Amino acid sequence: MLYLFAGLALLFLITTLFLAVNHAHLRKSLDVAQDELAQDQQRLRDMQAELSAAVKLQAPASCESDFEQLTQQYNSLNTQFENCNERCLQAESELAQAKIELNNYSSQQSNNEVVLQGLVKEMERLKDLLLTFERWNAELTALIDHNKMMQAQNEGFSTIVKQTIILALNASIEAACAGEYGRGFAVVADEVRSLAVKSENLNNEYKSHLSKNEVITISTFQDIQASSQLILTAINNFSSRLNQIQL
Amino acid sequence: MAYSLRSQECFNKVLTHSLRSAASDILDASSLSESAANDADLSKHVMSRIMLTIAGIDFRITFLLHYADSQAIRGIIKSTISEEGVPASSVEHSEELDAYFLEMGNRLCGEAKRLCYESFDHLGMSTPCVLSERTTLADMHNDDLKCEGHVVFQQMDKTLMAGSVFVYSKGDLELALDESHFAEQEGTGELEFF
Repeated sequence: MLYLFAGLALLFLITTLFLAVNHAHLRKSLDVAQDELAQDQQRLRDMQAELSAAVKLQAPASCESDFEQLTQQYNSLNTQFENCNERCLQAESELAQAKIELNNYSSQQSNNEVVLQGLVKEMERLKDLLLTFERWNAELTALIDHNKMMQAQNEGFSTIVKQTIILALNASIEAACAGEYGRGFAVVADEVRSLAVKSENLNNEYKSHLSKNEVITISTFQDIQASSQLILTAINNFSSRLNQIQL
Repeated sequence: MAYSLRSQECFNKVLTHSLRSAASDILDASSLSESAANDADLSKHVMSRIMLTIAGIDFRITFLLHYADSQAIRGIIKSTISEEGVPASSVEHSEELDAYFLEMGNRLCGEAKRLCYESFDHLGMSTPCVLSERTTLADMHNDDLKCEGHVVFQQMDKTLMAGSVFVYSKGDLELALDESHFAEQEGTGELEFF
């Protein structure tokens, strides 16, 4: 029993010893690994430092100018972008305004079409003025004919007045031949002759007025006739130009 | 009559040129001498008259074509040869003579209108009317008359044909034509026969 106990104690001692040795060995390996890690970290820091130094050495020569150019380009692009953005906003606003104007224009065009159609109808209606001119023409022609008739009547009246004067003269002669008995009749004959002469003078004035009246009537007739032609030509020209308008 | 001398001259030239053009057949077949005349000179002669009017927007131009109803003018007309080479139509009766000069009046007015188009945009022309012998040149005068001009065509000091122009307007009326307007037409006038 004692031997067994002693043997177990020895085994425990040997095992403990083995574990202690193994622990020491592991501890040593860990320390070595830690040292290597520290060295690697140091080398990395050194490399970073070297890299930073290298970057700092190269930056002024090329990267800084590139950087400045890129910065300028960036600023320029940024400005352009802002401008574009502003223009876009402006264009959007103008587009909205244009849409409003287009709507107004469309509305106005619709109104214009209605007005144009009305104008075309009015012009077509105005062509009927030809009938009015023809009516004036007929009325003035009647006036001219009437004037001619009055002139003919005036000629007839003039003949009667002349015959009356001659008759009055004959009556005066006959009264003179009758002597004392014809004295009263001679006075009447002289009065008749005097009236006939006055009638002749009045008739001559009337003739002169009829002559003037003829010229006024014919010139008015011709003026209306020529003006009618002028107006109808103008209406036709205006009408054809109106038809050329395409809304 | 407050009117520019140039316009008066132009209207006189229009009258003379248009009448020469309208009566070219008579003038070619006779030795009628042309001269300017005034109102008083023309009033001395008893002649038939034809009236024509050109209307503008604010004015009118009236032409009178005077002609003697005589054997002398009939003889000249008979001696003219028409375009077809046959003698002109008979003018024995006064109505036929009137018809001949009515046609001439139309040509006169048409030519005058063509010339006036150089200065005025809108013009219309009337048909001709024969005036009675009672009418006088004084009847043509009124407050709107701006200017008048006359030209006579005579044969052995006897007036056979004449023309008058009367311009009526409320306002100023300027007719601006230079010699080229008359010369050009005279140059091309003969070509119209071909």
